[in-house]
Amino acid sequence: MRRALGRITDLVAIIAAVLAMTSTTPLGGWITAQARHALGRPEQKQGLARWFNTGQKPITDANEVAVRLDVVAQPPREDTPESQVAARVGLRRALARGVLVMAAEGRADAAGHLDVTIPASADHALAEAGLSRPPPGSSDDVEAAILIETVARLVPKLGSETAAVAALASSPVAVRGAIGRARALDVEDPTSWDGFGHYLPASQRRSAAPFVRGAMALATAYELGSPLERIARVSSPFGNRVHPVLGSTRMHTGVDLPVVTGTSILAVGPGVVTHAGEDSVNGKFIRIDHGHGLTSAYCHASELLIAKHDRVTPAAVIARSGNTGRSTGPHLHFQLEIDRVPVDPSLFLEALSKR
Amino acid sequence: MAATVVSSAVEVPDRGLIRRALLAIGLFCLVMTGIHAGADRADDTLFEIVSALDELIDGLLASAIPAVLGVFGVSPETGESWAFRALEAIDLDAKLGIARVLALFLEALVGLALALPLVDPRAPRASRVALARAIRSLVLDPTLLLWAAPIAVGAASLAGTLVVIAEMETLARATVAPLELGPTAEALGARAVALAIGLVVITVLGVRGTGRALVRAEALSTADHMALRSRVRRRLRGLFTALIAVPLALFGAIAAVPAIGTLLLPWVGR
Repeated sequence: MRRALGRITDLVAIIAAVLAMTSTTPLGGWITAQARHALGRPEQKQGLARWFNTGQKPITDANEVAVRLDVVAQPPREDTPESQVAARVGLRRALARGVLVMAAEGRADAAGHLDVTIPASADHALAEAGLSRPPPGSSDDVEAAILIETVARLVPKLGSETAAVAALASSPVAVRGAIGRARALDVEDPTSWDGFGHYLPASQRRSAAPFVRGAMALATAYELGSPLERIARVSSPFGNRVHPVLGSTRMHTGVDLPVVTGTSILAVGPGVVTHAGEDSVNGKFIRIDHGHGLTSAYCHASELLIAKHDRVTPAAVIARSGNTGRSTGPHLHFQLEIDRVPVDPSLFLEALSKR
Repeated sequence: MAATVVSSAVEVPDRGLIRRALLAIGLFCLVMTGIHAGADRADDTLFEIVSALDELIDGLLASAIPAVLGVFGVSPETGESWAFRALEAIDLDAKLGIARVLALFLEALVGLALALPLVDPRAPRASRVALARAIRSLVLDPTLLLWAAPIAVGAASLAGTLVVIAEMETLARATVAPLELGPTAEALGARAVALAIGLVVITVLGVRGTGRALVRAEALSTADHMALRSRVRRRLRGLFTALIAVPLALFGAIAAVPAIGTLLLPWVGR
């Protein structure tokens, strides 16, 4: 009897330790990924940044459907079915678009029509919202409408847009438990991903994170404003260019907006200042974290009006433009990054896309 | 007395090759989990260190490169351009990346350094006699390793156990939720399951690992004696464990405490 009990406790301890390691450590993640690969079940989910990491080149998916990242990244239009569904159920258009882009895993045709598939993990969320999967063979628009309505119905139930999106990628029960724990710990903003994400079961956290962060980053990016009150032109676009100072071809990781020294620089969206300083390359610069891996940076300023850790509101004046750092004339270098990968701001900011 | 208590947990049922192998895997996983919790905490500290180093090097390069190139007749503009290139080589993102890679490297190094000896089949057995001898050495002829190794493995095991409890509580809560037992029963049930599993893990694996680390440290100290190594060299063996592994493991234990704190809170809601 004692020996049997000893064996059971040994086994419980071993299983618990192995589970904890595989779900929390990088080594465990690597072992899990290798095991999935060996079993022919490779991890499908990927971070949003990887889609943008390929720059402007079109990539091709398994069905040989050309995917234009710039098509995926374009802000939502009012005339699309998805926007009309979002308006009907009271969901932000930008959020609806963000969720659908993630559900389509970046697949879209040249007209921007997303190849939406309801994620396998969304069954619990659908049930909680009182909806069900469409019959096989239904159009992308039907799948998209169901997803949008599911999120809209879960927002009041779970307390935030992020929680509703997370429920799609994990389950409403797990999200509620995580929010409850974050509340009990007095976490600031317990219904945000930064607040409750940490308290999801590690395996769910890892699989849900790319979907939630990607959808919310896009939802934020689609609603960003302009960094200047008036943009006359873009003097140097995003992409490879011959560097004006160094003379060699280099990747230009943002857009240059010529502007007279002393012009007000505006925050493009709400966020927290993560850097406000000066170096020899960027001059006086500010970086703002908008959450979910989305950051914006404003370089070559003459004067900084905010400090690190400050919270900013959209269109708040954060600095005066200038010609500091490695710069050949007064301009604002504006940069947008998703998960620290620079992306073309003109794909997201309406004020830039028209230039 | 102490040896008897510890050995009753350490020495017992190590019979059977499969069982020994499974226990070794469990021990390895527990220590790696604990060290990872510590490395997560160390990430920010490493970033500050990398930033400070980068600023120092930037300052040196910004003045040194134009000056050195100037000696060879290079124009000030070209010198400045080269200085720019050098300064740009490590930007903010690179610093973040370096800090993360360093934390990962540190985690792997410390984790493997602590965990691999525990799973070595040639390691001395943690018998009652061996433990008694090790505890005697710990008091009468202490070396750095004799103290640092069990503390590091013990702290890493504790950190790993705290992570296990947090994970199991969340997992148990999500598992029992569909039964709709009500928030109070659900929360209490999940906590009870998590704490019970944590207790089993620390008893079966944590104590065993700590005992094994102590016995192994004693065996190495004895080997040093036999090899007639100098007193300083003997006492300094284990410097890496003391300076790097112990703080990292303690970081892990401290970092895991807040998540466990919720188990003691009166909150029971969903």
